[in-house]
Amino acid sequence: MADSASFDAHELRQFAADLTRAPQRVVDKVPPVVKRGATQVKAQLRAEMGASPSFGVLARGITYDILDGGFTAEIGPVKADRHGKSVIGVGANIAYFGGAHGGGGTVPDPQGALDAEAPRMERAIADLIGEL
Amino acid sequence: MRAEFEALCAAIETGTGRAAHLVTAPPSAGTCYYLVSPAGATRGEDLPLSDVSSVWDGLVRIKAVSPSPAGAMADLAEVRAVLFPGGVVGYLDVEGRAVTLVFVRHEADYTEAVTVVTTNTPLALSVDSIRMVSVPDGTEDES
Repeated sequence: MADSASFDAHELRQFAADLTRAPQRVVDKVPPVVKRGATQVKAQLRAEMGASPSFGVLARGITYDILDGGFTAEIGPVKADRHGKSVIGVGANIAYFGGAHGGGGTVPDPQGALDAEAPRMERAIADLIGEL
Repeated sequence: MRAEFEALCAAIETGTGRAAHLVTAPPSAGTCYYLVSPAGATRGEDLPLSDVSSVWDGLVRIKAVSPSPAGAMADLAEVRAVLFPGGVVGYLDVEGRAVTLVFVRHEADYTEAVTVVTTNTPLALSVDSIRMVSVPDGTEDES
């Protein structure tokens, strides 16, 4: 069983905030890196959810939103639309964490997708630092 | 591994006064209890076996189940106080093993889509992840 605490997203967010004070030519290159990373994480989350015989249908409900002017990505199942109406992602809690009587909880921890993408994100940001 | 999980359930039951079930809750569990499971496991018979002398280091989910979301969150907070009295690290008494618990993060609060027939109220869950490291007595954990 993997240790899922190996990647601290907080540090990356702090670093992204610091980058907002960098020269504009560098700042402009951050959002594409974030978007590329979000796309990779989403793809892995969809693949893992889609591989589940019980919860595979929920894979289509996994999306991402780009926030903070492109410096933050929020990735995961969407459970309700902007009007609060339930959409396809409802049930993802059960898929990841299980139900009240123990069923479910069989889809890999989403932290694993973040951990897998972290080295690529770190390399891309290191390249940006090299341009400072 | 089973001994560690049973010790974890026992510690929760002793500290909170509520039942703690390993992986699955029986139909008679009622509406207010805890579930403890390795992350990714679904049934008791799927619990991996390991040699008694081996080191085990894994993510564990603790779920508080209650009729109300507020109740589930409060019950889970009570477990944190029991398992991690000094902050984020705690210990379990298991014969022949040195077991360390580390709080990882709070995962989610949600209401199950299934209703309870007797009350017609959806059960609410509050979920924490903790890391459990178990090593045989007399060895050092090098992680």
